[in-house]
Amino acid sequence: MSNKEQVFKEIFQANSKKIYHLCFGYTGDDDAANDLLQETFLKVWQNLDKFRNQSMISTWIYRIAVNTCLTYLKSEKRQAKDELTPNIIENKEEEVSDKQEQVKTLYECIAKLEESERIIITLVMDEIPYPEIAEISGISEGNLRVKIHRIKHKLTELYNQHERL
Amino acid sequence: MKDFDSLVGIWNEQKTAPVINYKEVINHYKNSREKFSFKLVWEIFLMLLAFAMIAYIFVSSEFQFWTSYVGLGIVAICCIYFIIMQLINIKNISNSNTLFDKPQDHILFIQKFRASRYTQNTRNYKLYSFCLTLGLVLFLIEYIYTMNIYLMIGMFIATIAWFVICYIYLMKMYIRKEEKRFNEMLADLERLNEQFKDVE
Repeated sequence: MSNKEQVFKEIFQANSKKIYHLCFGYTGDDDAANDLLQETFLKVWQNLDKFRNQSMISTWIYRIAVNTCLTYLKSEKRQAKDELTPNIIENKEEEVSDKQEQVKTLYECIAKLEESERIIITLVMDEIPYPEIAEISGISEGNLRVKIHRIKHKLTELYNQHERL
Repeated sequence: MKDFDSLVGIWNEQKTAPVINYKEVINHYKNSREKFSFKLVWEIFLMLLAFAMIAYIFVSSEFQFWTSYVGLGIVAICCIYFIIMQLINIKNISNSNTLFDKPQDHILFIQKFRASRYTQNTRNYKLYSFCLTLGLVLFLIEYIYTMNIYLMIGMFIATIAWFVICYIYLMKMYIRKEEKRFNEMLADLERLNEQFKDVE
């Protein structure tokens, strides 16, 4: 394995799961999320030499992922699905546990948010620090805090409404 | 009733994971780059071949009418235009690393890029196909005089029909479709742009 491949492997393993969550939260679709993940890391591989000197590599990867998500949906005219694909929770043919059902509901609620809200809240739930989210989204930190507060409230409302049904 | 922290707890319980690995990404990159290069080289090769044939006919044949030379010249210019536009598009795409920019800047770039593609696909394409047809018609004028009357009438009708189908039906339908897609895309990008603006 070449040095470049080794570096890429480490970057992929460290970031792929969170990037996948971001893509899944944005599209609400398993196949689309995998496509977006692949597209994001294709760009990372292409620009690996530029990345080596970056201290916050994950910020750049997130930014590529966000831009890829925004462009991908527009070019393909795909819409986030209200109903998630079955393999989100059944891809390993396991019984659907309560926890998994809750995850499914959570993704359904995220799908009802606006595009930028989906991105921001996914980053928040993956515990990305606020300054980094501000850097990724290009929104000033002060305004971001206001936005996050609103989105948290909106998502919690949506989830509780869903549970009451 | 759950609060946001409970939702984060649910989020952390998820088992969703990507199905691709790093090797697939590298292989995909290598394959797609090879395919893309081949497609590009092949398209330019075919156009250069067409241009070489036109140049050969231009030099080696002695035409009676000046219209034949003008017609061939116009078709040759169309070939060159096609090659140049392909190269410009490829250069723009490869130089456009705006994926690293802030989402708002990236959205603006996409808007501009799509607008230029729209112009190419409608106004420029209209001009391109008009010139190509004009070139061919001018080139064929000489042959009309050496053909028998029925063949000449047939060719005349076919040419008129071609013009009518292209400019009245196909072109309008194509432009209308492009315009609809373009407007939808602009509205979507505008909406996204608004979302990334700072809140009041």
